[in-house]
Amino acid sequence: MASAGSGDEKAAAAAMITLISSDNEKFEVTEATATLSQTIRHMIEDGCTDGGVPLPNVTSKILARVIEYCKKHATAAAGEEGSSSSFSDAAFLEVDRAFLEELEEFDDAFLEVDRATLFDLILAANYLDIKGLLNLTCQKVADSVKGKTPEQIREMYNIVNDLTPEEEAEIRRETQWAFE
Amino acid sequence: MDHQINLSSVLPDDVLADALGRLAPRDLAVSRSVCKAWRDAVDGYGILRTELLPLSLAGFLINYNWRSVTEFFARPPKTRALSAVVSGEHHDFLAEGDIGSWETVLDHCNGLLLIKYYGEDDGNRRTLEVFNPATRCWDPVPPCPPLGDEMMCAFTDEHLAYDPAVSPHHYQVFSIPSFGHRGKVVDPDIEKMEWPPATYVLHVFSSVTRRWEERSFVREGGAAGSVADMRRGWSSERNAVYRQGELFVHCQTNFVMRLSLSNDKYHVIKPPAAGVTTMYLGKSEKGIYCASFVARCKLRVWILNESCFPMEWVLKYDHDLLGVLTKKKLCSPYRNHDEQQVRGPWTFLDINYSYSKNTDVNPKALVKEEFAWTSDASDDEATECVVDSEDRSFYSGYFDILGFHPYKEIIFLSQTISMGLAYHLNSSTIQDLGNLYPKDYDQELPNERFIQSSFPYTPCWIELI
Repeated sequence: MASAGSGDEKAAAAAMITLISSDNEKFEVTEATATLSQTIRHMIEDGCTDGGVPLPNVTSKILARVIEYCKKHATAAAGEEGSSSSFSDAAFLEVDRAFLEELEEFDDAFLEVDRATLFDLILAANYLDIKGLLNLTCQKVADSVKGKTPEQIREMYNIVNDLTPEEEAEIRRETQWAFE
Repeated sequence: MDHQINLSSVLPDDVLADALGRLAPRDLAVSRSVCKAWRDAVDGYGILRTELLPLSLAGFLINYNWRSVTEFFARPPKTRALSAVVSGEHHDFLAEGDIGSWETVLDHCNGLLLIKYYGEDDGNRRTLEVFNPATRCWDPVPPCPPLGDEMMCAFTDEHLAYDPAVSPHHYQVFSIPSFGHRGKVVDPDIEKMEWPPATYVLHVFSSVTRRWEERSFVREGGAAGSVADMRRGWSSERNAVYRQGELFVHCQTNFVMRLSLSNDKYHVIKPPAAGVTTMYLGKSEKGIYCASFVARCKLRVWILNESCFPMEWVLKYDHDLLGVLTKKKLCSPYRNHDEQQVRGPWTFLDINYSYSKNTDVNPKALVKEEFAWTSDASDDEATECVVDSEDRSFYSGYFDILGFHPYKEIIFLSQTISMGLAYHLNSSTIQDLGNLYPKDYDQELPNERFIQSSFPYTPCWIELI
């Protein structure tokens, strides 16, 4: 069984995985791309990816973006593995640096989305358990809140203030130092 | 954008907490008042740790003339962690057998100390360090680049800017020139020069870049005077206050420079009144304060009005302390210094004495009672006590201002370097905090015994990293 298993894994490395969005659109991706998602990685390990992976919580619009992110970062991960095993020549470091810069630019451009999409991406990253993407999108939310007043934050995210005046007063009292 | 959905309710609690957990304490506190879901996410996951912030006053750091290590006048500790701080641990990194070295706290800002260290062993080389006594974390600061022009006859004072509620892992050190007595050779062009200049280039050290860099601040409004004026305006204690992205620096001739770090502009704030010789700059309940004594016992306190241009000091309190002291029978500050160790709710650590005798500083044994602010003044205390001119001429004490309570309108004073006092500005009540006269200080000449500078200390338990 053990030797047969390792043979199967080798075959699977080149295999494609089919992801199915909530609106039934099918996406073919390499296993390297798909396994950036811990959720999908576990499904592959459990051998339940035959006939495609249904993702009922993710729309095709969002899944397409998530795949775009995973493809880029899967290549980056492969590149990093390659360079770390080879000699760390100055030229290689230079290539690495350029690649990291390119990746950062990609991430910045990737986050240029409206807030509804950003929240959908966070939910997808959370559901699919993609650490990098969750990090990136959560940081974007944190950055958008930084230095803002409660009113500005509510306006930005269409949040209805459901705190009673008493609760608001209590919050101010508890953290007076932050409202000076 | 879809205005129908409340986007925040879309995110599960743990994800919202993950996103908000990346914010600095001040933004987290603001986030709590956005809506119930945000408040509950912050509270439920315990991501706002207010108890780590420098929100309580632990005591005063005091530099005495001819004493090589900064002393600590400590408020009674309430927690174990706080007692660790006040037991003189900020001097721990002074190597054993290093008694000949000097170690002075130059500045304090929100729990961080800026320490100047002169080691005898390394040829009086002066080194700067930033130290957090609460976390025991210290960080060497490279030497500030020299000013360059020797004709200026200037030296520099370093000041810290740090706000853990906004940027917990970043501090800056500002190097501000001041002018000494000019040398024999005078360059009239320099002496006539307007000061501070329209574009003021300062050396600033950032803990992120780990470098001193030149930073230009553009003046808004008038200058304070000329370089020659600055040379005449000598006063020993000049500190700085950092508050909400603005560094207020007490400069020569008692003007205050307000540096806005967000837009690299600065203002000159003229002295509060003519004839103010010594003045103490601090922050307290309502913003930026300054205080000065006139005619020995008359305390004047001003608050800075930052909403007008040019900004100006507004006189808030003008109190004669002699009446209050007479009423409380506190106006004979001279005491038998040897017998003072057990009296007073606050503790004077006598760090220098312990070092010279090579004994441990152990304040815990001295603290017996729980200390509480007696800010509720009774009618009796609030009434002015009449002091006749004979009493006034008989009174031989004098005051030093130790500093302001950062969150309450209380000013801390030293009466004749013997008695620590807390004076509640609102209620005009005074409390005797205990002795602050260093043991063996009688060995110095009377005119050489004085307090050089002092800072309120508010411990901060956030790791600087």
